[in-house]
Amino acid sequence: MSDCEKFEEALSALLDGELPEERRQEVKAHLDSCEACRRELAQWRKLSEAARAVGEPSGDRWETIWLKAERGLAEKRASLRLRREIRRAVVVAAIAASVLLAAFFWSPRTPVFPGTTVAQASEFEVVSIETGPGYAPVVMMPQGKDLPVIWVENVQPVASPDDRS
Amino acid sequence: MEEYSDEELLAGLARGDVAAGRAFFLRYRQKAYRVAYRLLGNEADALDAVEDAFLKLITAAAGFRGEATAKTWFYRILVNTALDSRRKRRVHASLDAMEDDEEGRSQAIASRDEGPVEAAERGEMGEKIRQAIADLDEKHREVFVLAAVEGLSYKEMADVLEISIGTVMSRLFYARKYLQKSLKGYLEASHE
Repeated sequence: MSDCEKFEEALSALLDGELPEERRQEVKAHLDSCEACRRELAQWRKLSEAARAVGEPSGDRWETIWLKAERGLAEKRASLRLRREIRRAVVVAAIAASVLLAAFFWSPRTPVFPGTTVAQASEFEVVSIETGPGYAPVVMMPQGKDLPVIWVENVQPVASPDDRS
Repeated sequence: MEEYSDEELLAGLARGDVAAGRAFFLRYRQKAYRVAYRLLGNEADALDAVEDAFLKLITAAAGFRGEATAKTWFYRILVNTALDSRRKRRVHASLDAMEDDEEGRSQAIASRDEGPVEAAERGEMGEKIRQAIADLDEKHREVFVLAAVEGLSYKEMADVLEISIGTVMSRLFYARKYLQKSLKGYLEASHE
């Protein structure tokens, strides 16, 4: 490998400003004494200049492209707005569902005896039922316990055929 | 908007901000066109690639995570878009060739591709340079164009092309040697 071949790749990096300082000094020293490498570097520089020489495109194509880009941006805004609205609707629906679920689980259901459930209510034994004008007290006793529960049902008096007359 | 960084403008693009989009477009349109023109070799295809790249950028802007700079990210979209369109064009060209008379087809393509930029270049050595760059294979052409035309650093090119810095250096060196050989007459004449 000749001296020049050893420096060729470094010349390329030198042209691009990518050569480390210590190597740059070495390559520059070689360039000072080598006409062939100086010519090569000049030709590569010329190549880059020629490659950069691209004029503006013709016509009003930039405006056409920008109009399409502007439409793209408008669609983007619309899509972001839609996404925000959907997200908001989902949050509202989730809150509403939570409230409904809470109401369902926390509200008292059929058994009205404090601290009992439907299954427990079926274990009561009806001890007596009395009826009177407008009321019907029911006395119930939990199985095996000595604690009567009195249930007073408000009943509407039923008019007898005699009363109607 | 000139004082805003590329990353700030890209963040604006992700929100659909027109002013940020316009600023980014004005900052990069000619650079993008130069790259696309040198990658594709003609004005019409280069403009199509620039348009597609900007539209893709708008769609993808929200996905920018800052692993690369906004500039290298945009160039990656641009280079991929340009090279994809070139590959598609080749497929179409070979399908056309099966149906059309070869001579007629060449004339049709030449008249479609040639814009005023090419026309201006025809009288100079520009056409030879355009052809020589077009003759480079894809992987060497993309490195040469990004370095020589846009002056990207080796690190930036490595990010755009997703290759190592060593590969960037060797491809660029090869491309320069190839073009120097192809354009020997022109370079020696202009040097003297």
